[in-house]
Amino acid sequence: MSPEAARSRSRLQRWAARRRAWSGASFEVRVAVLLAAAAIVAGVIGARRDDFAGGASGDWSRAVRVEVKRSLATTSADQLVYGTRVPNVAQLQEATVQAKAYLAELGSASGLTPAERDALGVRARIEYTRSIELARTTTADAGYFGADHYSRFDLRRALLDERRDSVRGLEDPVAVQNDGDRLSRFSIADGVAEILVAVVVLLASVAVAIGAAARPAVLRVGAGVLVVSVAILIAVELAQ
Amino acid sequence: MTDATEESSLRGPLAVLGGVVAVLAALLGFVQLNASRHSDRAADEGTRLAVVIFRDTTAAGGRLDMKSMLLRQQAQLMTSASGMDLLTAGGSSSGLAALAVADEHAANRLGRLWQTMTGTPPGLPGAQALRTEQAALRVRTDAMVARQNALMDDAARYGRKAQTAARGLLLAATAGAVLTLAGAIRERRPAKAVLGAGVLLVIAAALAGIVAAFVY
Repeated sequence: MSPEAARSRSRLQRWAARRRAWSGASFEVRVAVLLAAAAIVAGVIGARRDDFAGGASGDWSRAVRVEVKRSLATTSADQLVYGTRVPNVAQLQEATVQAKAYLAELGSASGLTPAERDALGVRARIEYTRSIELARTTTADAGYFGADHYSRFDLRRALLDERRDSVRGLEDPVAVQNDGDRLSRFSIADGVAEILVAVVVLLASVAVAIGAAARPAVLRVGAGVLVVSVAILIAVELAQ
Repeated sequence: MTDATEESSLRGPLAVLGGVVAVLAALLGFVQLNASRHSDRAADEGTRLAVVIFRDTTAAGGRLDMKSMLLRQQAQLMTSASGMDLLTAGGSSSGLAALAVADEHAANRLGRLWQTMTGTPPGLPGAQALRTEQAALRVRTDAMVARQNALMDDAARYGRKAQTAARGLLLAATAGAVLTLAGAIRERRPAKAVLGAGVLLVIAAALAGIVAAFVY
């Protein structure tokens, strides 16, 4: 027999000896081992459950803080668009449209008096000058106008762009809240596993109280329930 | 009866009651955990919704202000042009008549431009549309406020649940201590009396759990 085979055989023998010793262990020792294992599992599950619950609560609070930041940013963006940009655009459009209307009137109407021609010419010049000045203040909005550079201002796109820029770098509060929901579900799963551990304690207690014949079966059920609770714990850890 | 026999006669019930207390405590802990998470979530979502309500109201207010400003401006131009047109109907040496015609054209064109931009038609239909929009905003805001209030009520309700479950946990812990004491007393009658007190505490803890889980 090779040295490795001998070592392996020796290990098997040691394992078999331990198994025999365990089978012969007294009932009290088995209950104590089961309860000790249950206590360790309960400690681990309880700690993880609290971790998840704390994480969930933290995420929900963070969602509120993020919402405040985003709301402040989008409100500022809305105020900028509705309160500053649109009035500027409206003035530009007003000046341009009026200048165009005066020029059109000047060019199309035939029976105009000299005074009317003068009045139309002067107003057209004033409005064009105003329009050029206003066009300078609205250069940032140039991309939102139509081909004539003053009409068909795309307010919706301007607002969306401004809002998007204002919340750049900020998280989505709904996503943060959903993260919290996910952690909360894990904490609930761990809570269920903890109830199962308590059931193990109950089964061990019942085993102490009942007759000797049924004790091994009750302890086996207890061990099985403990295994299930450990499986839940592992599943939660793998799922997160 | 010997001391040993007395001890062994209480050993079974004490062991089972210890297990029952463990399960009860775990169940109460679960109820408390669940209620606390509902309470926290409802409170945080309610706070978040309050922020959203103010944000939406401010945004809608700005939008309505902008639309009404454009409506007013367009109406002002149109009124001024019409007034000038009436005043210069008999002919004018100052050239106002031609300006009035041009202004009227400009006002009409601006009305169309701003309708394209904001979706609100010029003149009275526009004012009517703004009133409708304002009414819709109020309905939407009322619905959001009702939802926010319901969330805060939920937070309070689940908070009470969690509090009751915590009281139940305290009772279960006391029951555990009392049962341990019953196990330690060597005389049968006092031990039974203490055991009875422990059972009462267990029942009280279970009732607290039932109230926390199903009554609130």
